[in-house]
Amino acid sequence: MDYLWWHVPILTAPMLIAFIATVHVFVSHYAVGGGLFLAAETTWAHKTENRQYLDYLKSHAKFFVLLTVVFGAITGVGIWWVIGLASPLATETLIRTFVFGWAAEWVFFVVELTAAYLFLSLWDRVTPRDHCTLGWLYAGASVGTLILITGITAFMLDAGKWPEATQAGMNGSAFWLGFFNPQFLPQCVARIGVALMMASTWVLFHASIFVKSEELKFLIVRRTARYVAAGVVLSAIGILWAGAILPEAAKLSLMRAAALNVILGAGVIAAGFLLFQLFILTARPQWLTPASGLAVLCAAMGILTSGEFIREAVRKPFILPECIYGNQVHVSKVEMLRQNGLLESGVWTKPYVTEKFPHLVDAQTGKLVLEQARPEDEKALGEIIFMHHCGGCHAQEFGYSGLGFLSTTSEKGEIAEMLPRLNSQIYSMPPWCGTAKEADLLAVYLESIAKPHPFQKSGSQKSAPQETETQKGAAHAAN
Amino acid sequence: MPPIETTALQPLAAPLWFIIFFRILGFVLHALLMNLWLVGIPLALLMNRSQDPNARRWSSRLLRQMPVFIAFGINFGIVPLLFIQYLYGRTFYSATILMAWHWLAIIALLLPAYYGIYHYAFALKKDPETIPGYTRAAGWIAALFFTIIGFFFVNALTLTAEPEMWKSLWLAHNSAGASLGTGSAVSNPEIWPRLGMMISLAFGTLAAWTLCDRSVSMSKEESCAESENAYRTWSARCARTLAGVGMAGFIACALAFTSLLAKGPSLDAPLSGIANIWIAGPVLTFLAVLFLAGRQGKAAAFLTLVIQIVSLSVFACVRLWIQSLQLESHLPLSQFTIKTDLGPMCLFLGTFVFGVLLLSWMLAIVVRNLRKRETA
Ligand code: HEC
Repeated sequence: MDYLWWHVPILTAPMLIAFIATVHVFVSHYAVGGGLFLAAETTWAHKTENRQYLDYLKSHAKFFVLLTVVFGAITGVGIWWVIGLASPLATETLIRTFVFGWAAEWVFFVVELTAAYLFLSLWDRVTPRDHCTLGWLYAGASVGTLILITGITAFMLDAGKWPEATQAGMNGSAFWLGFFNPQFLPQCVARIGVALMMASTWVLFHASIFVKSEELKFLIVRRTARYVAAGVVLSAIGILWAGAILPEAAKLSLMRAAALNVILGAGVIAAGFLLFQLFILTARPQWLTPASGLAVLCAAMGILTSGEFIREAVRKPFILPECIYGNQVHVSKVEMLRQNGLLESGVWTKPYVTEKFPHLVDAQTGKLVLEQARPEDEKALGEIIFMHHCGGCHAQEFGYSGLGFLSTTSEKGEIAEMLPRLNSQIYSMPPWCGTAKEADLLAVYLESIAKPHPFQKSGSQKSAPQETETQKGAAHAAN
Repeated sequence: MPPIETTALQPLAAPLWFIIFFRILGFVLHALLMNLWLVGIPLALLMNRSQDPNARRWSSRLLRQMPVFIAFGINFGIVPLLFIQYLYGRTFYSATILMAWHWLAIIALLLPAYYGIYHYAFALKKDPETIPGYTRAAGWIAALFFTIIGFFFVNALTLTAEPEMWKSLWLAHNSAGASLGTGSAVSNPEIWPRLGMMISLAFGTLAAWTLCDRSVSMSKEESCAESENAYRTWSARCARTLAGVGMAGFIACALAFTSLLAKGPSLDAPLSGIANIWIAGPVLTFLAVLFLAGRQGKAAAFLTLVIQIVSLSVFACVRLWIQSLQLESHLPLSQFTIKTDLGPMCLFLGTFVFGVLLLSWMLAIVVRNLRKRETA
């Protein structure tokens, strides 16, 4: 309500966050795991004076820098861009809480970037010892960035005592309370594990294309297997741990949403497939071909995608737990909105309605009097309410979770009746944040876009077949 | 009144001067490198076609270093962007949402532009004499994209500082009161001199780079004495021209900008004084380059760089001052209360000092190994 709302037709703005964040994590995890891989492997190769392997590592480092420094960094900036556009209030709250966490992360980025360029460009030009130092500096800094950002992303899943403390007028540091949230440690473990896995798959993918020598391929696959093993163990521990202490609401969401069941299942299948492939490849490194390399990479990306999607989805109705709802409303403001109205209270909705429907403004108080709305105003007013109340999670007639499909209706009044109890059944939705009159207006709009019920004709012969069904059911139960 | 949330802001976790200091530091570092790509890429692409070997040398050295400049330039931009959201989120978010697709396009343009420059730099490394047509095309596309990105930034920051512009834009680009994200600040003539000032400053930075790069790249071998001499004279002339063009452009744009500001909503600021302070920067750079370009040695060259950094810092400070004046009626500085949270502040400061130490360590590694190779 505080900020202008960005309307992205069909997709909804938050889906853009999901898209950019997903492609970013493919590379950002590689940036961390790959750093550990390169540092440790270069150290080993220098120690064993394995020229062939060192040459391979150099070519890999080049690929690594090109991917992480450009694509990884820019999509990372992209997340910043898009969260500010799609969720300004939540972003503002995050920044107000964690500003120095981000600032510290930036310092790690500078160290990381410098070390990456020096590690690559001074290859063969510095002593092996110094070279390894640069590699480890990179790895250390990148782990530092991971830890800092995980404090913040874990916070978005479970803020622990933070919401309560801040609402009670926080004494002491909101930063640490939020940063060391219950999900912080398990997610750090999981992310480091995933980083090692992701790096291994990128290495296999890269090697499958660029390495011709069988002998070298053997070496790379065998060396990589260690990182896969460590990655599997760490990520399994981390994910199970995080899952076990997931807030109740998030657990329930994961179990009850059919789409999430499918995504979770797909992730598990991808993980099984990946492990199977890695197992086979370790036994038979000669089977590492561009096709199998790509398959390994895609499986890993599939796991990450499902993981990130679930992390995003189980947070609903909140963007920030117990603080900000998906419709950009602060928890503490719901009551006020119910009293005064969403259109009246919104920083942008009020001037908009005033501009477009001047006859609704009471000359004396300057307040909106929605009861004065003419029948021909109702749909347009309802659409404004839709935009600001539902548009963050639902498209309009058509698109992602489009209400044109979801509010299938056969009876007039059905929707208006449902709205004030918006979150009573589906608690992944925020509570109703408006007056009763506003519910009626929104219902007019929703009815105008709703698809008619395919099996029921509206009006007179209302829901006859369903009644017989229920009667049958009741009879059945009685028996 | 423009639609801006007016409830009291949460207190800042650090003193205002602390935040402003880092905001300016980050901006200056960012501007220094961003300047090199904004003007450096198109100029280098032009010079790359020159018959003069000196111009080609200048061009390929600049373009081969460019990927690193871009990486660090983007990186340093994080700091001012973080702190502008921290201080002026209330206008920054709505301003960028008004032009959401243009703002987001920055990311979409940056990615191909950056890879395009990498591609060009690799081609130069492989064979500077024969650059294929598609590589040149990639270079020019990158140059174009970077210019468009600069233009979008000017739009966004103008909208952030001037909420008076929002209403008409919003009403022209909305669906049921929500922004379609297709607005821009082009109706405001201020954006052109604003962009012009940045481009002009970039000429000065490029002049400083020319001298610094020359000072580290000159060969001491007898056999190339002649070509080295030729490059020394050429690059001195090049730096002087760049700094001169930059100064002239900046004076014109700064005067145009302040006179446009004077026409707008009344600002409680001595605008002509501001223009003079602003102009002093590029004039200083020009004088430094004029006198130092002929000198050999690293000290003189890096002195011009320091002076350019000072000049960018002056620009940044005055720019922030104007921004806070423009926003004074909406988000007065007095509205910021402070409740210093020492823990996170120390986390950042500690990391900062530690980071500087690590960077110095890396620098020491580089220097030590280069010395070793020289003596070997
Ligand atoms: C925080 C996100 C969020 C917001 C905001 C939100 N919803 Fe939902 N809504 C959901 C989710 C999640 C579902 C479940 C979707 C599914 O099962 O595919 C849902 C489902 C629905 C359904 C289908 C109900 C059913 O029984 O299947 C309707 C109708 C609906 N929403 C209407 C609305 C309306 C009207 C608004 C605005 C007043 C709104 N929603 C705001 C998240 C949201």
